[in-house]
Amino acid sequence: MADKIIELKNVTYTYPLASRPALKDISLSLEEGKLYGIIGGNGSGKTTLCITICGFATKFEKGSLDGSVLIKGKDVEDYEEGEVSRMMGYVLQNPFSQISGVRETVLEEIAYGLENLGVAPEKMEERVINIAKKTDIEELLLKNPYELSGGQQQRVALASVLVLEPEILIIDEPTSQLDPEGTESIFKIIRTLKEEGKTVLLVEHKIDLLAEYADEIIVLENGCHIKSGPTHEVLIQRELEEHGIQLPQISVIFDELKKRGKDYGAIPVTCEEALKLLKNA
Amino acid sequence: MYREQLMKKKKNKIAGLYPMCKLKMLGMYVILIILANIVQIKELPLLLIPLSLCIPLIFVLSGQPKDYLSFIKMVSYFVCFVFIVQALLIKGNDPVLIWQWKFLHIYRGGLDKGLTLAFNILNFAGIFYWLFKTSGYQEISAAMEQSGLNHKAAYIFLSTFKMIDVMRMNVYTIMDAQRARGVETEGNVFVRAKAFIPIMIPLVVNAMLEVGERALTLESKAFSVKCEKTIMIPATHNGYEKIALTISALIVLCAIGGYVLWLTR
Ligand SMILES: Nc1ncnc2c1ncn2[C@@H]1O[C@H](COP(=O)(O)OP(=O)(O)OP(=O)(O)O)[C@@H](O)[C@H]1O
Ligand SMILES: [Mg+2]
Repeated sequence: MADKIIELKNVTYTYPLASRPALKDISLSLEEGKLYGIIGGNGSGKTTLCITICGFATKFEKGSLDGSVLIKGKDVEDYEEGEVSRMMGYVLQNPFSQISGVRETVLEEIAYGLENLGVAPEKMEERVINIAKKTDIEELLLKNPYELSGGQQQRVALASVLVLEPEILIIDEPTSQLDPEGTESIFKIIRTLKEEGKTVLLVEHKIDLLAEYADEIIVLENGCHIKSGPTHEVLIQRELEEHGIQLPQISVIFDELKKRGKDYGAIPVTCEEALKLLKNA
Repeated sequence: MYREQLMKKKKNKIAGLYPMCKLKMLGMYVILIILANIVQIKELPLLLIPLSLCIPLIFVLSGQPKDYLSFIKMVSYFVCFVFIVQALLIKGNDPVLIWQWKFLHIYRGGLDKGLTLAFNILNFAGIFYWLFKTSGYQEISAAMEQSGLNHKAAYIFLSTFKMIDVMRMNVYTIMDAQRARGVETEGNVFVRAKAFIPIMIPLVVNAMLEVGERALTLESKAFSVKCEKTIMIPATHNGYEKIALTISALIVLCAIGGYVLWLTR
């Protein structure tokens, strides 16, 4: 069995001044090298789960946390200052907030994390350009980060974290402002991250893409962890629709067909799988 | 290649000086301002007036005369206002009338206060404006960090100045939003004053929320990792620093010499 890289044990988290917890008794254990998709309606606690795993929920938001969050077997709170951010990259939901506010060009903005890690200045440029090519923002490098469109800022935000090459990536809705083409390209980047052996936690609403790319799905509702498991098993459960979760169209169609007596032996979650099933039938 | 482009030095030899060198020159200029305040001609700090004319000269020598014009545009109203109010309202202990027209009187005490305030503002603000216009916040903060300023302090210095720029941009966004809700932002002074609160509150609240999220941002950019920090685009010397400092020091020495002569006259 693969190593448990992140473990949550009975985590309940309440924001300061809030009357009820934003996360309720969540236990999860995440394996190294997998891509986890986190889904749930607005306000279900996805962002809160992300910042809790990073240790920001107690460090910056100063809420109260019960239970424990273990990163590589060690409690996040026991790590020394800065150690966690070396291991984990966090892309914020609002890309505007990800701008450091102290650099005048996108180039330097992306390099800012490298400066903080003490990378030699001569080596920075190459790393930044590589990431910029990957995220398709090369022509923006000399622009002011504040003068970008929402989608461009979103790519810059992702690039500025990817350039640090963290082992674990926590990415909160990286494609909310991107066009379909841009979204697809971000998912391709995320796939290469997985191929490099990184662990990725991805909050995303675009269920068809998650069906294609994610290894496992974690479903949240009202701060509770209501379901999780391999993508194939989770995204065919019709009862999730009652919790406001949209399932991939294709799995809904095959499920309806099955109910009407046309069983293809399995319920697919992506078009490709569906095509295969149809061919074999 | 981008880095080379961004590190390219300014053509003008004064504008391209190392920021710390400019900071030292600024310090010497402050000595001149202090001297001009002490030396009184006809019991007035008249030397402040020719000194304030050195500011445009410095801007021209730095090859950025346009920036001086924008500076004057910014401060002239304020400076005139301060001067007129002080000159007309203050009498001083033993009033010596200098000028009179109908009910307007100017006494020496008032003229003294008015001149002192107005021209000190022009001189001090002018020289600082010159520093920030020829070097830019980021270059100055890089130079300070290179001279051993703590990384966090450099961030605070820089983000404070940058925040002003960002807030200025936000004002326009908020103004648009509030206009759409029916808040009048154009018109006479009173209409504008009434729009002040619906613009300031979201501005300040936004800024405060942003400070909160900024902590997460910095953490995600490895800000608190304990190691030797580097700077991608460091501040650089252009080789004329020694000459510039020598010339500035000579000017200050001459001024001090002149002051001593004036004392012993
Ligand atoms: N700073 C805060 N203080 C108090 N309560 C908060 C705070 N941030 C979020 N909450 C509450 O916690 C709950 C979970 O919020 P969270 O931001 O984690 O939701 P989310 O799943 O990320 O939603 P979205 O899809 O809109 O991003 C919500 O009920 C929200 O009102
Ligand atoms: Mg969220």
